[in-house]
Amino acid sequence: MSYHEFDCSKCIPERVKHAVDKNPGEELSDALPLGYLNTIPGSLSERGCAYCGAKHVIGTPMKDVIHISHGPIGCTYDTWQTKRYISDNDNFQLKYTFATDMKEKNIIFGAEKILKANIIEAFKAFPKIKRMTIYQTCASALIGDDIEAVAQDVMDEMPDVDIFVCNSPGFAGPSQSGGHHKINIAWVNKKVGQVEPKITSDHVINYVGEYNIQGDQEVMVDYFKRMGLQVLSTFTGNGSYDELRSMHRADLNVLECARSAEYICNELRKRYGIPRMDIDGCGFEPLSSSLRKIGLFFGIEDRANAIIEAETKRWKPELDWYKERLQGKKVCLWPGGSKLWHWAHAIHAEMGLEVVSVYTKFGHQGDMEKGISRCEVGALAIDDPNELESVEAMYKLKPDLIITGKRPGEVAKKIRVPYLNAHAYHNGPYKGYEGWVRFARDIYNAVYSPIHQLAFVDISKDEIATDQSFVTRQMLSDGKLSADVVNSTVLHEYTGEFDSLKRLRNAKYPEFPLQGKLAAV
Amino acid sequence: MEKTIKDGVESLMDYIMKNCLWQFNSRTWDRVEQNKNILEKATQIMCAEEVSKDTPSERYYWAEAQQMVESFLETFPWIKTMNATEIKEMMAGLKKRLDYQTITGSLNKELDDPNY
Amino acid sequence: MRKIAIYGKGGIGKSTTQQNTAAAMAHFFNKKVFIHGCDPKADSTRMILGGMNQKTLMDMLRDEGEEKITVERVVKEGYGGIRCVESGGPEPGVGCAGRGVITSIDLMEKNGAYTDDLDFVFFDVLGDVVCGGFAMPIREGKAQEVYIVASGEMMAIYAANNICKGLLKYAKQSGVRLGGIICNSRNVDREKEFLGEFTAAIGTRMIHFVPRDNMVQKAEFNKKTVVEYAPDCNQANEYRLLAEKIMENESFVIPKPLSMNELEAMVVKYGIAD
Repeated sequence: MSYHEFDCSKCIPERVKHAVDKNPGEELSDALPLGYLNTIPGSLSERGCAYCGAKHVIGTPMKDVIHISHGPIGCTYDTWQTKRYISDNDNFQLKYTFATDMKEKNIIFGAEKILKANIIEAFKAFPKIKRMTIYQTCASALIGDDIEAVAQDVMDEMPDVDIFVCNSPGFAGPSQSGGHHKINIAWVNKKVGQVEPKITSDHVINYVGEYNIQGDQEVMVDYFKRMGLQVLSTFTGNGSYDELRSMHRADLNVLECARSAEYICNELRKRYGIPRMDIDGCGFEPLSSSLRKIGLFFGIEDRANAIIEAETKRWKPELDWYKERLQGKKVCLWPGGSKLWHWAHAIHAEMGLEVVSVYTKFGHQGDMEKGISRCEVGALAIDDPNELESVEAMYKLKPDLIITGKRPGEVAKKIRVPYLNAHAYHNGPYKGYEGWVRFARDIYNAVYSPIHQLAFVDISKDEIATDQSFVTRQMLSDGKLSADVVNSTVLHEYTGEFDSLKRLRNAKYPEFPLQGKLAAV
Repeated sequence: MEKTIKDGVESLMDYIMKNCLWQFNSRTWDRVEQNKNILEKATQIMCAEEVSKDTPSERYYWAEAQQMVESFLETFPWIKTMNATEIKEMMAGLKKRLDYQTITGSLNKELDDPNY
Repeated sequence: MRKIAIYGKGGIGKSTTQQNTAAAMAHFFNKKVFIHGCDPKADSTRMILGGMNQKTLMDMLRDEGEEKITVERVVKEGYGGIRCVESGGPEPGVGCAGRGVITSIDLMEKNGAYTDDLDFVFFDVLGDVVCGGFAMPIREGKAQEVYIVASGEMMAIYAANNICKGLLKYAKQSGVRLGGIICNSRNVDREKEFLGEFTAAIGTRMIHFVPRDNMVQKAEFNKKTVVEYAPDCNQANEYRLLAEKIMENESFVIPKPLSMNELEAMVVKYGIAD
């Protein structure tokens, strides 16, 4: 690997070490982009702040909790509704957001009084919700408000509520990732171990690092339940506050997003001896391996195999239909921190896409190690990019699709490259077997969109064909395919429903009666 | 057999780097433990030896190793033609390669942070 | 382990008193002491460390980042085995020193610096408790007792009274209590009486009257505490007495700060005499 110098970044020599080309014959030990450093002056990076990492990414997906930020109203609004972490209690945490709306006079005279008033008002407004998390912002951090003391006061006055205080102001780290760390450690220090759960299975896991974007968590938990596992808690997608306080009773921590949640896994491993197993929920092969690994750990691999077989049989023909049509299409995989390695190999192997570039907004060098290992030779890996560099990369690499966040995605649209939302998805969920096919379908729709073709036409000078008025995606995609493939009776397009979660929410699961350690009790 | 063992190491290395995550925990001491235990158990499984899986962490290492070996045998059927000595030599070579890439030769500066 | 916070008007002699008391505890009574300096000037440990300005926590945080901070790198041992750490902070006129105090105490707790083998931990806090940050040492789980250093001067007593107002608020929240007022004498007329009446009025007592003595300055020029410089002199004995009184103190109160009127009346009373 050699370091990649962008033309637009020649004036900022420090940027050279943040981008790497994966050249043939080179390995990780030859070159690795730097990561998780302060943003370099001169480059406008795409990172969020530590408060956002703590509140928006990890805190707010908890579903039965009032999430209140102690600070100015802007901090609150800008970390709301930009990520679709749904929940099965009618999305309470998505519909409502809470703030203490600190103003200048509160900064000068302290804001503990209004904080207490706000907390009590919030609980009164939603009497069924008994849990709360309070997030410190830059403003309240600087004036030294003792939020813990105020929370303790309220808990003494209202004994049936519980409050978690997260001290992760915006300046507390180089990027969102600093916030993840702080809230992980704060949660395991203050709240884990306070509740004893009811154990209903011989095999108990925590599902860590999963935020239920458009239902991902519900898909995965469906597989776990079919295997007879008890998912004690999910950190934190569709997660419940009290379940998360009982994390210490699991037999295994199944870790999906290592970037944001490996910290709590490591602490649980250190303090309670619970092993940490990293899995990939994306892609048929990785998902099958993961389910099998979990099955092996508990000695129930036959149940895992049954699920793998059934699902693969149902969905593989559809995945393959898209694979035939996506072969060789070039993709820039530009997510935030961990999807670059969750997806890099899987979309290449299973959808035939060429990943020409990976990047990470707030990832660490570890994410780059995983991402570069998994992508193919010739890819460009960038750490903490900015828009000028991404535009230069897109012009040079000429991808057919960008998979990234909303804001860089809009830039891509302007230079006529279609984009898919990597953070909140378009038509997710994307995890699981069916989800992976939905992902392939979204990619297919984006790449072969007839409207998108029109974007390349300049009506001031190009000839507009007048005999071709009707173009479909399939006409665009099937042109070069062999007749066998086009007429195949085995392969077909996605046949799932628009809302693939509906049937999961009402599903019934097989009973696996308790044996082993708890049967004696 | 020299050449085949070296090629074997490369194939397995390539598979692990593309498909596995256990070798990428975030601290040097953690990677040392992961590489040592998982590769040791994988070697034992491939040579049909006894594998201890009494404690939770041993069971974890074994589950990773077992899953990986099953994939190896499916993807690289030539492993079935090797005898125990050859397998052990190959796995030792693999461990050396992996330790270098993920630990001693790694450019990841976070590996040596004192806290996790 | 007892955690003690020392407050008082700027320039009144907190750091001097605190370091000498710590030295006396270590030398005469074999106590294990930890000093955590919370003043941006970073001068709370110079005399214990023989004049060395140790690298401050905030400097290390700024230059190297939180992950690289370990107890061994920031805590230094000085006279009498006293362990020292300086929070440090910004220069005058910039930044936010209060936040610096919060972060440095957080870091020390996180890294387990206040070990169980310690007998006393002193937090030496800068004079004017101007924002929430400087009250960090008296929050939940930190200092349980506060001593305010004052003299017979008007301004020192005003400041002490003001600090009691802040203490009142934290007394309810975290249980911190006032252990007493230490008089660092300025040879003001009727100093002892003034302080005696003031301390009684706010509900506590003057725990010790430390006389003014040139020995303190002499020792300071030599970058030592009096206890180290001249352990047999009179002043060293005064600090020994103060240390003993603190160690045996059982009077911990929630202060009753005076109103401005009451305070003015007292000042007038002692100022008009003669």
